[in-house]
Amino acid sequence: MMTLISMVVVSVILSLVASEVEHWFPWLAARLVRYEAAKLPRQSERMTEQWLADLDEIPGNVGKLLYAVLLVVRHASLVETVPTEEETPGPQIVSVETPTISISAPPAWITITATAVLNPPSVTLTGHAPSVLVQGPPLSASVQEVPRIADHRRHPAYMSTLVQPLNLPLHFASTCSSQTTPGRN
Amino acid sequence: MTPKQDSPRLTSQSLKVLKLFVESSSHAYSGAEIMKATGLSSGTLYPILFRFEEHGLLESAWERGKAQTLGRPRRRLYSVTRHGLTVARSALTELAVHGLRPAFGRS
Repeated sequence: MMTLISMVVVSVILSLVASEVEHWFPWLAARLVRYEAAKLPRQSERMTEQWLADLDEIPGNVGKLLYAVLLVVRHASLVETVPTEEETPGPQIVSVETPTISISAPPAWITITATAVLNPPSVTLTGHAPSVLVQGPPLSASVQEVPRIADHRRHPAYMSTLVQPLNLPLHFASTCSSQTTPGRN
Repeated sequence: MTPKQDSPRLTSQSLKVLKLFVESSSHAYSGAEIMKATGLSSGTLYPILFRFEEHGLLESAWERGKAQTLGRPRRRLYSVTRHGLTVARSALTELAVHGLRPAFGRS
């Protein structure tokens, strides 16, 4: 009788432990995926998100763990084949609405303000002049250039303001260099 | 990323992946969907996907929306390129005609 009771108790405890352990599998799988992605020579950020998304789609806790374990097991193949970094194209100014130009105090400053439509959106642009900054909310951005006349006599944008103010947006666009802000697009 | 000019090595496993895309060339699949459809494991599938992407047979893009909005990590969706479709159809035709592993591609 005692033996029977002991067997029942042990089996109940084992099933509880097994159930508890299985609940940890998704967590462990996510840890393994992050670990494996971090060990890749490139594209770690992309693969972390991509593999976590896969884990999210895979049904069952055991399946998730198996997915992660097999990635770790095939580490060498993944390292060998992982694609090179994507060349992120610099944001392009698609169009610029009519700018407003104003001269404010001190008189040596000229302010050019326009709204630009950017592609891709959500980017930060920096221009040639140190004071040029485009901070990008999605799809549109306020473009401000504040060249100091004394310091920027030779700046192309400034020269264009003197010669052909109406053509400024196009010229301004062509003189912008750009950089993307990681994680915002 | 500039695709490599030569064709990748095509194994029976990689042909399974190409076959999936040939059957529904306009559809974009996540890695998990490809695993489910082909029966390949993650450790086998991803080197194939990486190789195909590197050779310009497949291309991938994030699904629309942000993770915060979606409430889960964004999926990376793979779709076949025009070049990929040509290579896949050629390989599958060769397989159907000769019943052999396609001979082209680097080792």
